Amino acid sequence: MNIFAAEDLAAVIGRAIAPDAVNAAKAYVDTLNQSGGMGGCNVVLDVVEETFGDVPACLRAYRDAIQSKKYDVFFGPTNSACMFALPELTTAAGYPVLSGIAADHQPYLENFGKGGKYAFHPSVSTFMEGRAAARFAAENGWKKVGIVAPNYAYGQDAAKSFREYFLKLVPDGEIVTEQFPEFDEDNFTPFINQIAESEPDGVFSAYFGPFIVPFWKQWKAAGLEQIPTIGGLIVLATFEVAQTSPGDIPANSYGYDRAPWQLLEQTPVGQIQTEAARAANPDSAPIVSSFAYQMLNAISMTKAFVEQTGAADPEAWKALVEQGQFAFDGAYQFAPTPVNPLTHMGDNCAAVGLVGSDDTLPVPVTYDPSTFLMSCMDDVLTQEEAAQLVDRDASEITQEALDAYQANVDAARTAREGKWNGTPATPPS
Amino acid sequence: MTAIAQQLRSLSMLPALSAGARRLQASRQAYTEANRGLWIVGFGLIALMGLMPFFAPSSHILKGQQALYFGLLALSLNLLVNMIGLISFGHAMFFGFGGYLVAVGFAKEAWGPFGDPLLMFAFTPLIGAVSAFVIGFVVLRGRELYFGLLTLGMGQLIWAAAHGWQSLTGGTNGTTGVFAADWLSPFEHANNLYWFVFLCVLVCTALIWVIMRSPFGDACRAIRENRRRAEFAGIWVKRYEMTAFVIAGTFGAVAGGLAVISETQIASGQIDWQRSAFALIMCLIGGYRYFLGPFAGAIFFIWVRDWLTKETTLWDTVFGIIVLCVALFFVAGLSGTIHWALAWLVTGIKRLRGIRLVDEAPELSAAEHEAVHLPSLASEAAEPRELRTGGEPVLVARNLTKSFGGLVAVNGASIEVRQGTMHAIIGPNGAGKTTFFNLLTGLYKPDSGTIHLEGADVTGVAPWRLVKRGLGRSFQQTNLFWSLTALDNVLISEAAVDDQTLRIVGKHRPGLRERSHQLLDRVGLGSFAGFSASELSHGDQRSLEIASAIAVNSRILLLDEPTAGISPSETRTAVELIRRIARERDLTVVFVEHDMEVVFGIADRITVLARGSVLAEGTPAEIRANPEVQKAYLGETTDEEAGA
Amino acid sequence: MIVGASASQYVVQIVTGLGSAAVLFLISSGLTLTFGALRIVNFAHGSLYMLGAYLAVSLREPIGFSNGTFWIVLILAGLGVALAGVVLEVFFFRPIYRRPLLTQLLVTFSFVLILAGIVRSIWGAEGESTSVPPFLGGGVKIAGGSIPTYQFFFMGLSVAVAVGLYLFLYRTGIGRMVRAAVSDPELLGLSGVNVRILFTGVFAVGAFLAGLAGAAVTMQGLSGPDIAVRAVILAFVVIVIGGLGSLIGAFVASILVGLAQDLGIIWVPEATLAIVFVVLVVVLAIRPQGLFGSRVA
Repeated sequence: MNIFAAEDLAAVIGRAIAPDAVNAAKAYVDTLNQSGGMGGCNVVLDVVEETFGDVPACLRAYRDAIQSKKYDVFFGPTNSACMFALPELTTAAGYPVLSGIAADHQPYLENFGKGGKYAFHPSVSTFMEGRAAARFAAENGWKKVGIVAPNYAYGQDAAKSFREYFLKLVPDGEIVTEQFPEFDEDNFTPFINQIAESEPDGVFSAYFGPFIVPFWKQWKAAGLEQIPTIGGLIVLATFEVAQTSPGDIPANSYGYDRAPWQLLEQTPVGQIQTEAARAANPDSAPIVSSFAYQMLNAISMTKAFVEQTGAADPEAWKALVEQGQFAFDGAYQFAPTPVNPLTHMGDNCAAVGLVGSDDTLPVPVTYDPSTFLMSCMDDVLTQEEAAQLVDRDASEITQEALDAYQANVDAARTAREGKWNGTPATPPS
Repeated sequence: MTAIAQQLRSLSMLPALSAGARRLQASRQAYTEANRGLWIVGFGLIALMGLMPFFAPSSHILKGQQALYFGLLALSLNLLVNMIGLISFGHAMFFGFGGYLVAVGFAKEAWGPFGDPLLMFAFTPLIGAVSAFVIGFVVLRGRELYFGLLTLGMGQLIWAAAHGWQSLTGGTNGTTGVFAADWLSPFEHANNLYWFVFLCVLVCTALIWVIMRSPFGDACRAIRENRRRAEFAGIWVKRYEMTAFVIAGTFGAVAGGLAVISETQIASGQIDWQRSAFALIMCLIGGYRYFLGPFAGAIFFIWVRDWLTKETTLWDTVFGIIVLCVALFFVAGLSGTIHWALAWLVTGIKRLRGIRLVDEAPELSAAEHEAVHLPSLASEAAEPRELRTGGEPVLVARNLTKSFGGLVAVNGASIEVRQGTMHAIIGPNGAGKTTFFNLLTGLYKPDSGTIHLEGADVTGVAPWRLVKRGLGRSFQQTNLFWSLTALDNVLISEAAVDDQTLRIVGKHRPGLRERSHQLLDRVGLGSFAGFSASELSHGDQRSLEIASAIAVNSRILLLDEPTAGISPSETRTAVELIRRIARERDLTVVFVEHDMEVVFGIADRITVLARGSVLAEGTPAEIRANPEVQKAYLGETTDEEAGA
Repeated sequence: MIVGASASQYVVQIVTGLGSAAVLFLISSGLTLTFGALRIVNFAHGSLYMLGAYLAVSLREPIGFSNGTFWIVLILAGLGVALAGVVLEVFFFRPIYRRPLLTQLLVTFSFVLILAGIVRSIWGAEGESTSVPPFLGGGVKIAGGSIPTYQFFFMGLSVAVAVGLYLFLYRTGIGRMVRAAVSDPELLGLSGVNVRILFTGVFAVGAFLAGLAGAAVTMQGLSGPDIAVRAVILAFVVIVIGGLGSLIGAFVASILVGLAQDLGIIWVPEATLAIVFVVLVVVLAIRPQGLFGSRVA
């Protein structure tokens, strides 16, 4: 079993994101190989440098790997634009692709026929973060909400996901302002002025990691501390900026996270993967990067595919998923993780928690674990909506398949009942 | 060169290095002979790229494919950089126009037939040309650095539009899955795709070659070498710049279209200023003075960067150091290195055969040999000679006034030059002679007053138009197309004046080369036709400039201090040359001159300027006798003056 | 008639725009100064700005960032960058003053690449920031909005830089020489002035200003290796609009661009990126030499 991925190991953001995840994934692959690999096959994970946000170079690395015919499965890259283009390439070449580290904007599968067919989404990130934050906003009674998101694919998709779900949950709610500063903006004051003018109950910000810090600093300086904000505080030991300024973060700040280690280390598979990740990145321990879980989950999904179909054939995988009963042992669930036959998306989760500090961690700014609101996909996405996410004929999927999927979901819901600090598992409305 | 330049040069760390480099320099003859070898290397490279699918592993074929379309982008940029001397920092915008044209229609199914990538690819030259034409109106308002920064701004504007207009372009995510045709599938028929790109690039390269070799290309090089001289060769510089800009945009857009067909996607990050900068770097590293240099640069860029990224996370630092070293120490780039190596090989082979290559230097011109036998001007001036009164007035200026800020340089000066005369303009320092001259030749627009050339009002008319009306001019400081050959200096002027150089394909019309040669012979430079203007002696350069001024088919010749800065023997040569040619061609000559011996030796009529106004006008004898003129010149030595 | 927003919103946004303008002027003043005298366009100016920011981040630990020590950090970061500037000028830029434009552009550009890698390997890729010194914490209430106090500090600093540069150029002997170098370097060389040292000095002052700007501005946000390019492109826009080499031009253009950027957020939020370049193209289409550019472009 040869898996290929091109990740951004050296460029500005990628260097902070990818190496920990790749180390964890390789360590986990070693763990797997010691206990028989995938369905008896030894697993090889090759990761090459995707070359610094240069999309043609990134795609070339994948095409090169495809044409070498050495690989059976492809994991997505760090670079959003490269990930966006990749499924159409791999599908055209007849290989399966699993969204890898950071970039997965595919939930808006507007081109299922072209690229989505052989694309599988073990850990849907952007979409889940937006929805988890929207659910949090709704449950906290926000009516008027401001959005500030970086002006590139990730920020736009997160904002879109939040907006849609929030307006669905709160029909009399209103998005009073949407601001899209540049990704590397460091002067948010003109945008904050606009948000303050619209007097929101709360603000959703899709800036994450170190990039949210300037926003929060300036939010505080503008005297807006009483208005709560949700930002993307994806915890990474490498995001040192938070270290320098915990005092600059306003009191009413929440952070969303696609895979908070404090919660994921509690699941059975999460425990094993967390240990492997910590051993691989001793400097970051006990923090495990959220991106690492994404990649680990992709390995888990691949393993289940191989073991259940006995092959690395994307058509067989697709058929398996679309029969509905496919589930894999992932870190996000206490039971096997169901995979939606309509969208190929795994039932993963994202959380929102109050930002607090913990001096025992390598990065003192973190979440207050007692405040987490964890939302899994089955909490925030109905089957009707899922059908609308994909531009495919929903009748391709039989009712039996949908029922089988629902049975898996019910099992997962029951298994996580009362777990994660008693996070309420309210079904979606 | 001026004092400060020498000072600056002496401070630099370069002398030691350049001394070392000089020792390594091969002779020019060796370089010339190595040209053939360079051609073989070039064709070898093309063949290698074309045959790559037969022998190379797929990873290299993919790199080759990228090198091809990036190379085309760099080559089209080099049309500006090398051909006409415009340095654009926003060339990737054309890459974007072509790329999005192919991609966007495909992504929007509603576009019907316009969604066919191959059909839209056929339109990429058009969108490139049209967008370059529109953008050219803005960016060509700036010159040199301003042009570079304007293109940077314009490129960023286009990038920002692609970034922000997400409904059309897909923004940073881009437009994906653009599969041009089944037979170009990157997986089923990867080699077809490669050859498609290769053939398109080959055709474009051939077309660019034709354009660069055309009369138009010659005129562009002339503009690159010396914009002012080009204007006085009758070249409407803006028009040529616009044409070159449009051509470069056309091929840049084709490169963008090929990129989309190759990669099946385009996103806004691919057309930002870094892409433009990298295209420039490809030109530099490959050697922008060489035709295939940009391709060499693209190949280097793709392979070496790929290798560097695997070896070190400090790839950008290492790459920056490479760029720095090439820019500082070896501007000729990779192609230049190959050329140099070949030249050494040639020298070595010849030496084995016992032949030593020695460069001939244009040290003493034929004209100088002749000069020895000429009678001295002084003796000639002393002798009574027949003054021409001339025919109709051909150049008439009335009450010209020009001021700079508060300083009135020319104040109500008038002149009437009659056909067939030698008319001198003299005056003490600061009299406004050169300003007056620049007004007459259209370089400055007068604040008031009129100028008539052969009866037509030409007040405020641009120099290149005056040149087309029969005016030729030389400058006080020699103005030539420095790195072009003496022959090309003359030939381009002859061709440009009646717009022969607007043809972007083909050759100069038959007989032109011979005529230019004859003209060079007439000014005594026949044996130096193949030497570049900068290699000639100062006196020969003055002669060449006069030849260039005549080559535009001029009937009126305006010479600004034709004997400035040359030796007495060269002065005699130059004066004799002017007189002889004026007689042969029945030219009217207007000249500014400090050397009174020359003035009184050859002028039929003299206008004396002082403080911007005409002090006196008359025959040499009248001027000599005029007490006011004597007063104006009182205390003035006649020589050793530095400009008006 | 005010469009799409209340009057108080305009007041707040204009004051904020002046803060943005102040940052732009801090970055571009050094660039226009060095261009004026040395006649080379320094692409690496943004990288020097970045270096200033990172030096401030590193100096903050040993020196502290209190109301008093904050100034020391600023000055030391500026001086550190000035030193780096001297090295750049003496060893790399001096040989290219008389070289073709292409060489100049690519030599200075190469340092964008070189410094990006070096900074990344020393300070990491994910960005750093200093905190705001206590006396600049909090905000100032204006027209119902609150503007961070440090924005006013930026304004004050840039006015101080403008006045300082004016006094330096017009009231000191060295300043006169610099101005002479701007108008006619050759004549100055003939008059016995050591042009070499003068140029190095001017470049050091320009680098100092870049470093000072970087060290000051990093308190508001985040300094990653990306800020170099962002800063230098904006600085180019400013000095081209103002007229290359013109200090007053840079000052006016900073205000123009700063206000356009921030008011653009009210008017055309979709096109905030493009608006700066639209201003550039419009101004230059009317006046190719820039607002205060004296020479014909």
